[in-house]
Amino acid sequence: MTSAQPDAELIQRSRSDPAAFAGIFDRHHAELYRYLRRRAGAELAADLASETFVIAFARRASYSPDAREAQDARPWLYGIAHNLLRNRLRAERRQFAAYARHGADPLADPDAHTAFAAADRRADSEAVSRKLAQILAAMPTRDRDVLLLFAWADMSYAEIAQALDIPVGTVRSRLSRARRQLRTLVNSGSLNFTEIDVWTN
Amino acid sequence: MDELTALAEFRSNTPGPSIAETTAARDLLLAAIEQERTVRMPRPTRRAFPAGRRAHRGLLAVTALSCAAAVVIAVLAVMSPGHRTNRPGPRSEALTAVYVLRKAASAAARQASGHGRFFVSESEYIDPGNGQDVPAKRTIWTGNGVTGRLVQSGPQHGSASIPPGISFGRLVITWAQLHRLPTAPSALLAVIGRASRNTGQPPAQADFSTIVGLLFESPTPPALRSALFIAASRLPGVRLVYNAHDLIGRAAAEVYLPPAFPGNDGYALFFDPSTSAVLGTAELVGSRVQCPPGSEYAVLATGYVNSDRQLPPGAQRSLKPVIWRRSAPGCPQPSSDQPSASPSPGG
Repeated sequence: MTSAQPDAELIQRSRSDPAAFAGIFDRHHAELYRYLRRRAGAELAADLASETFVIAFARRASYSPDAREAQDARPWLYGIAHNLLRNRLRAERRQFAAYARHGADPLADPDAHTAFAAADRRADSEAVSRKLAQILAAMPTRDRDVLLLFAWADMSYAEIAQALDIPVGTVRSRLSRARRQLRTLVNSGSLNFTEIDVWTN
Repeated sequence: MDELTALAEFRSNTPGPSIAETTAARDLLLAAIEQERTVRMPRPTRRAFPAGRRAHRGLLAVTALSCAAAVVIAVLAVMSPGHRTNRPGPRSEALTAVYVLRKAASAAARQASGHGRFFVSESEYIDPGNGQDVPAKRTIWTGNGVTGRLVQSGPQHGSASIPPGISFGRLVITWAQLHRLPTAPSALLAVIGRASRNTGQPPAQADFSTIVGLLFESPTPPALRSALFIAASRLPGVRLVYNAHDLIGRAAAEVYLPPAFPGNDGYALFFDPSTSAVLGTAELVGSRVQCPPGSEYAVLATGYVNSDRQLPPGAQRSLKPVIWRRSAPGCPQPSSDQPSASPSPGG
């Protein structure tokens, strides 16, 4: 059965039976889309997610995971998605910066930019998100990629290393640096966890 | 709560893809799969050839020729002229419409931008719904911030100045605004959706009409044209007519959305997938299958010029014979197959 087949086997099968690759789409599209939408917004996410699978299909002959990742094509797919996202990172940084400045998330509300001046739209909880957005906007891209794959895509160090094509040690050091940046803001009072607790509750 | 937990909560309510987004993405992948299947040909085994380096080169050459032949066959299947007879099932139609639209998008993306004060488009047209079944010609100059010009032959013979503006759904936008439209297909589709509301058509049909409007007779830059073709490929229900030809008999990919209800109209777009050139449009009244279009245009020439008296390169001095859609039952017979009007280039 297709549903019981590991990703690697399904990809292997798709080399002789291309339609089998649709199974990879069915397993991973929604999750990948959601990750991309969280990072780049709905408009870009739809494009990037669909392009990712078309590119992955075209490159499936070169897919050769080592034994540890054989069960899961996610690092490979996220790696392709990240290469596509890299071209749009300026847009992502701009959106984080806009969120930090105006308090309305342009990803949650595409029309929000027309209402940035409306202070009554700013809920208390948004203040926390604004600070997080500020941190993410200021963070180097390489650190942000590692941090968000870890926090939003629930990937292990090894999977992140595979997705970004970097050594595991580099993943550790970048993640450590990114978390330290967040903690620095906590310590400096820029990020108030009381606010976060109120917001998340 | 630590910093990672806070980060995990950030935008945690982001929704997943809608059914339409998933369907569009899946269709895109299936089109790529279909394309690969089309290109694949049975390959001869090594045993069929004598061993050796020279024979290996021969095998490669045969394989390459087989693949090339398959591509040519696939393109000819889309492009070959003829009457519309057997219509395949809707699923494969949707797939192939996606394929030809994506192919046109790729071709458009590779093209260079044009420059000039005016974009001029010269077309041959019929409008049997309004009693005009004799072909006529229309030339339209759209100005970049300046007044344009429209020259028509036939029953509406004459020349008129037209304000600078480009039809965009229920809006009219300037040349500059056209060039500022987003070139990311999803963003573009969202803008098109907003501009196409309240036009009396269902959303997909209204979006498609707006897309056709921007591709036909408009100074649309290559990146935007590419995005428009991709946006069209994402509309649910988009169909391809096999073995189609345009008004003057040129082989074309014809893509349309079936009218949503009797009396609902819409447009079909004729284009060349390998160059992205728009060959024409057809107005659909009621059912596409039953009747000829209300009006139909064939683009003769387009280009950027610096005067509203200047014709585009390749402008035609005489009209071409039109090809009527006679095979459909119940359609009125045209009074003439041949053009009777002489063009009046430049007005």
